Amino acid sequence: MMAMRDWGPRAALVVVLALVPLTTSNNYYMDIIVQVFMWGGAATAWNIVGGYAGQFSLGHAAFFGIGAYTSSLLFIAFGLSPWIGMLAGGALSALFALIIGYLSVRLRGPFFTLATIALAEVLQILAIYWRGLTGGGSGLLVPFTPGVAAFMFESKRTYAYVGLGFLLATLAVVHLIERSRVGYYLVAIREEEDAARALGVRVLRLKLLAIVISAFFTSLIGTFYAQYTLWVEPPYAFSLELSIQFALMVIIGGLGTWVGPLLGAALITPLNPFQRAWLGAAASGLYLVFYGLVLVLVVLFMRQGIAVETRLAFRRWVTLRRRLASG
Amino acid sequence: MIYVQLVVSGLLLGGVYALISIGLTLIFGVLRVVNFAHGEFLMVGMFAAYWLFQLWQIPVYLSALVMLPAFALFGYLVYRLVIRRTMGQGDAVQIFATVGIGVILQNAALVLWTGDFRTIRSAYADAIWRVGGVQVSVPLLVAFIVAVAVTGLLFLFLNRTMEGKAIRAVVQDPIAAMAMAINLDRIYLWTFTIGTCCVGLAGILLAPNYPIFPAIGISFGLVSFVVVVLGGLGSMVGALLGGLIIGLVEVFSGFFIATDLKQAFYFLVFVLVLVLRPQGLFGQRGAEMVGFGRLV
Amino acid sequence: MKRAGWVIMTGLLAGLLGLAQGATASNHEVRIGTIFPMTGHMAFGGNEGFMGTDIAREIVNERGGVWGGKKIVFVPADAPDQTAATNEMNRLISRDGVKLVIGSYSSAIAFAASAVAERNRIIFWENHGVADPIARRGFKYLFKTNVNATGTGGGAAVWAATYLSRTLNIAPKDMKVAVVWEDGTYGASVGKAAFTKATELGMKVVANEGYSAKSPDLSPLVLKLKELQPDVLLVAGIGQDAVLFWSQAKKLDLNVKAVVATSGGWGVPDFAKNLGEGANGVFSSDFPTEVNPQALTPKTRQLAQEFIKRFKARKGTTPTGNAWLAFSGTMLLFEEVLPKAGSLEPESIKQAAFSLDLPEGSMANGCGVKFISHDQFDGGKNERAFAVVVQWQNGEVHVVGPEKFATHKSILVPLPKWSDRK
Repeated sequence: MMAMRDWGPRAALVVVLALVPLTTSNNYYMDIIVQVFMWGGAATAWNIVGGYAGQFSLGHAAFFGIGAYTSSLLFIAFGLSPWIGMLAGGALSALFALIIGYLSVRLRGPFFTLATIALAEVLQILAIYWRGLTGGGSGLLVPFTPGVAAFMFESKRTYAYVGLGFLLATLAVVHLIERSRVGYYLVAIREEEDAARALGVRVLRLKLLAIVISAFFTSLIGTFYAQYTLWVEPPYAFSLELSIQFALMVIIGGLGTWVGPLLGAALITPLNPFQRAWLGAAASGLYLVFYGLVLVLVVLFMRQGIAVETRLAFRRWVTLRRRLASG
Repeated sequence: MIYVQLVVSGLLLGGVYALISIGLTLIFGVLRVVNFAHGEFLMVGMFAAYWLFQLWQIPVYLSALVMLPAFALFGYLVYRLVIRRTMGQGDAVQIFATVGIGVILQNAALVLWTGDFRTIRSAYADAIWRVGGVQVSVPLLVAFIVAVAVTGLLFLFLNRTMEGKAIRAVVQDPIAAMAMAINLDRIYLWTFTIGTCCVGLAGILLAPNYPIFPAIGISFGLVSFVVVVLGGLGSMVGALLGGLIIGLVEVFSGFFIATDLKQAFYFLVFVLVLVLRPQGLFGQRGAEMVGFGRLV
Repeated sequence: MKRAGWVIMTGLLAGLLGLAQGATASNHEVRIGTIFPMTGHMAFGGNEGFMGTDIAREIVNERGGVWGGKKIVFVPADAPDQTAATNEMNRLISRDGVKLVIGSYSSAIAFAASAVAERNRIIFWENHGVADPIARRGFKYLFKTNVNATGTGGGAAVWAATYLSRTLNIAPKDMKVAVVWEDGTYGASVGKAAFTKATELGMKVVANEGYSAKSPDLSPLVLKLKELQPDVLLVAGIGQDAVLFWSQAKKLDLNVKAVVATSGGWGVPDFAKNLGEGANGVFSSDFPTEVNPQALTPKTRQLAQEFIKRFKARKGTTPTGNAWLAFSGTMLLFEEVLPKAGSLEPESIKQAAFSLDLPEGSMANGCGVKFISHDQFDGGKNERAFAVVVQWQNGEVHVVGPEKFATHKSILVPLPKWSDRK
């Protein structure tokens, strides 16, 4: 359970985050900030299922894509404000999550992962095939008509703050889950599922709940993505690469921790543009090789992710200093 | 007449899938590790065949012999450096360590060899056997025969040799096996290496038939998961039959319904199997619930 | 063990968090951005596109540059995919202060990159993107010098209904046509154009199938086509899916009387390299390459020859349609637009571009120039750009139609059966 002393650092972090978009006016850097907030939010949502419930979905791009497409299609066809479309998308994703969850929640470990991969792939194929509905492989273009109701803004900084809003919303949800009975049960399930079940914890129901909540928020971020880039296409929005990216950020940052996903997103997101600026066109896929390498290394050697490992390392250093000072 | 061609094409494709999946199911059956980088191992095998042909004109069947030790070494390294450290450490570690390896391999290939498609242009690659109006691609037929042969050989190996029986003992009861002085680590190493050699071999045999590019591992990798789950994780015979079934499903659904949708069909088959009969055709019931399978 | 992990992690991260310094401006230079997929799966096309663009820069600088001797300097960007395109455009505009960007080889990249340019109110000069919707978004800062999908896709259908119909002696209303396309941004757009035109011309469209360019096996599609027995195949492939499709057609003995592709993967040297003799006879409704010199103005005739010479010197092969697009479109910008504009200010560029009214044969690849006004349908597009029909002959691509641009005559109509070929 969470101790009172965690409040302080978390509140401080929120304040710091709120100040970040003010540190630059350069659109290039602002774009990176928006992306960090966006992916941080998506990763935090994934963490609900992956970190807290211990179910490793590699199909979350399905919810992301549903969110992006639903709000965009409703906007293009009916002029419906993407804010409302976003909620529609969230509901649709939650429904889809319920179905996926119901089918796969009995499956353990890698089997669950495989099922989520398969279902996301099916969705991707259908999105391309139903081109009458989704625009198919050509993708969907959201016309740029700036305005609050249209969920589009001239200023990137505004986008950054809206993105921050989404991030804080997901962080708040995780915070609440952590402090609640649901969170307690989820951890029990993650650590020792059979024992939890024996003690009367309604395992399947809780896993489903985690999946649905996670899907809902991932979907909201999908809408934000659509409104920010104004372009949605199946090979990206529903892709396995995207699903892996969510998981990767969380694992590197710290599975099952509050700040881990954001930390992972903050570390990983700038790597791509920076690597390109630094190494130039010389080696395009190289940053992805790094991603893979970092993933393997973290998983093998820093299992708890950077957030926790940093704290542990810090404590070890403090203890070491103390010992050296006294000895 | 077209139906005969469809069945032949479906079976040949199925043979390909079976050949790819044998290694995966073996590794899973023994180590209980789902190698998410399996498709990328295949891709490496395909590139190996391509470069051997391109640089030194080594024909495919010779490449297989030449590369076998290399694959064994590759399997050994991956096992020692990574896989061994993931055993018993929980799902997150096992899943993402192999996912990570896959990402590394795919993108290293992209950096080294670019995304351009490569094809092996040789008489063997283009060889077609025309029998009664039906076209049979010779390399695919060879792959099919090898798939059946390898299944048979592995079956014999596991059932008739001491090493094989030791492996089966480990699958049944690792602790009892240790009590019988069987070195678990060595068994795992052997199995992983054999599995890697199988998929490397598959890559080499398939190279003449497909364009070779870094992302090809993803498509084939995903199909092999479908095949092993359908066949039952750990079952060689299951992988063979599962492969054939999936090959037929893909070709028939692509032909009768829509080319665009053919993959969706076998993914749906996949989900149905997971929901209705998770142990697949020949697997052990309950495997998907506790995370391991039976070896047959 | 844990410590090792730390060291490696820190090393990796430190190694990656380097920042390149932006270029500094100079008064003797005109800095223009370029954005192409230089790496990734479209790298071949992207590199050729960049090369064509760069040769134009080279020639113009040799002739004295622009605006009284200022040399043109490129600030290049690499966009292997759309996310990269958006990032890179932001970098070019916000960090490097670029005021005009040339691109981009790929329809998908064109979409993403031009959108960023539009929002930042700088000119995007697109020479290649074919997908129809590119110029239909109401953008006010986009110029597109080349033909679009309606042109290439429609052109394929027109070729089937005119030349092929005559030569094969099948009336258009009796001609069985199968339309096949890869289901991405590029293929879907071109395929739709081909289908629409074919239907319009009254031909019997027996199939209209999409396929995934990433699929390693297209045998169900080939078998389906075999069953339908079309006379002519109209196909849009983006890259090596073209190679896969045609080689599987060979393996499964799919015999058609003619194939009219629509550029993309069917028009690049890789196609012939991988298919050998099997590539010969394939038509492609494509961007103009080396056209009949009689169709060009005298000034352009020389330019075209110069381009071929320099391209061969750099790359060793003859330029493909895409390279010609890059060269022609960029020369147009440098020689006709910039001098009139006097600066890189968007309004000046727009004024200069819209004032152009050049006849066919004025661009190195044979096209004329007249940009459609931004407040109209297809705003920013060059309405005098057109597609030609090329054909693979002896491992090389030659223009075979329309007649006034042709350098060679068509061969292999109808195509011999696979069993009769080598």
